Amino acid sequence: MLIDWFTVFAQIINFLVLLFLLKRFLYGRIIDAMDKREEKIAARLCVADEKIAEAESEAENYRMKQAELEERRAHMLARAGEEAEALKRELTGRAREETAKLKEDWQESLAREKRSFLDDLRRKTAKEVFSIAGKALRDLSNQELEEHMVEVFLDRLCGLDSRMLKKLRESMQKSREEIAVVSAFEVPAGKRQRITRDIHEHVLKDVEVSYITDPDLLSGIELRAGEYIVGWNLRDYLRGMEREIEGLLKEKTVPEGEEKSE
Amino acid sequence: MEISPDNIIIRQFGTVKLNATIVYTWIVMAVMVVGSWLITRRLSTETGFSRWQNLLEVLVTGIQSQIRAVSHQEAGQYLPFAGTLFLFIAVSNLLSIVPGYQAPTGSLSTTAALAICVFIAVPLFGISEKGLARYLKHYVRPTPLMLPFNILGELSRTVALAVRLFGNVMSATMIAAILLSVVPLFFPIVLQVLGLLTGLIQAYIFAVLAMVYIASATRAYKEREEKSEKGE
Repeated sequence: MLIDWFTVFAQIINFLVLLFLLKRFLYGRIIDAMDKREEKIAARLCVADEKIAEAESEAENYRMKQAELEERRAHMLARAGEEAEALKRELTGRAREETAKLKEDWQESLAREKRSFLDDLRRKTAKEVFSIAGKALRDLSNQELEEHMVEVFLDRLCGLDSRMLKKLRESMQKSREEIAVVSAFEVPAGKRQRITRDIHEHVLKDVEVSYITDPDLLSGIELRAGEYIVGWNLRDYLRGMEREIEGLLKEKTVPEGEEKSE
Repeated sequence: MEISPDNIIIRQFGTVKLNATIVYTWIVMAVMVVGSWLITRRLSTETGFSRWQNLLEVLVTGIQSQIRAVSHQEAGQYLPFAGTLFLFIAVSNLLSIVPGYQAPTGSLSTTAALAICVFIAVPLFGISEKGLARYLKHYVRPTPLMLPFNILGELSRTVALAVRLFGNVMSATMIAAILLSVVPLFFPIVLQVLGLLTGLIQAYIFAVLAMVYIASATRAYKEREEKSEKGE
């Protein structure tokens, strides 16, 4: 008999026992371990996904920040460039202005110096001419000339027209005491009498005439009655000449100076 | 020369005979349980683990995928039964390379016991899945006339399971023994290797067939019910 029923029964029991033991020691544990591992791997993958997402967002964030920085940098550079340009323009302008001002000042001072130099030159020239002329004329004057001068003065006094005489008289009446005959030389007594007489005859009677010697006149004689003056002297001539010479020199020099200063 | 290890009596306690089949079954069981215990004692749930754990995981996942492929259902509740059938038969057959070892599957008692387990397990799974009444109904389908044929079918396939496994393992042992006496050198080794292959194949066939029967007991009703629910 190939089948031993006791053995069959025993084997069934054995199989069931084995089934139970393997279920306990093999399948349960292995499946449990695998499930746990799967869970862990899934969790790790999940974490990894999260981290990747986080990293990506972080990277995106950084990219944005970098772009922003780049933009800001470009902006700042542009602004700095503009500012530098503006500053350069301003400084250049200022320097130019200063240079122009300095040049102007320099030119002005140059012109001033020139003017003052020319003024000095003019004045000195005129003075020199004046003094030379004065000296020459003084040297020339002598008794004869002085007498002649007195004659000429008297002629002029006598030859005054009525309108002039009227003015002279009014002037004399206003300042009776100040009537004076001023001369560069000492008028001799005879001539003085004659002058006084002529004044009394032609101009106004009973007027006090005083005689003053003033070498500054250089040469000449004149009658002073307040504001009114009759007569002539070299000083006035020379002054007139001096004025003329000054005017002439001014005409000649000033335009030249102005041309250069421009 | 014994045709079955049942006849090798190791101890006898009165009427209880402790034969080689039972003893070698215990040895196989001990190897399997102790091995499993040793390996699963310190399981790693991390990504790095031992080769033995890896081997067991490959085995378990392989069995699971086979069950899924055969039954088109989740392996969960069928895994211990089908897995133990496969592993027990496989280990029993593979250990036959050990000299002096007598494969318990070479005993018709063992294969009959396993077939009886399947015979019982199929209706149990079917009932647990569908309920007793619905399970029993399938014996009278399509017509009550089919009842004897269905019962016969159940019985005959159980016998076929037992005899197929027994015949294959026993024949392999027998052929090896006969060839040893005819061509003592080299050739028996080739057949021994062939025996290992057929042993594994038989283990696979047995487990897969058991699974097919279980699947037919559970899924078939499901399909039929789904059809009737659709108004067919």
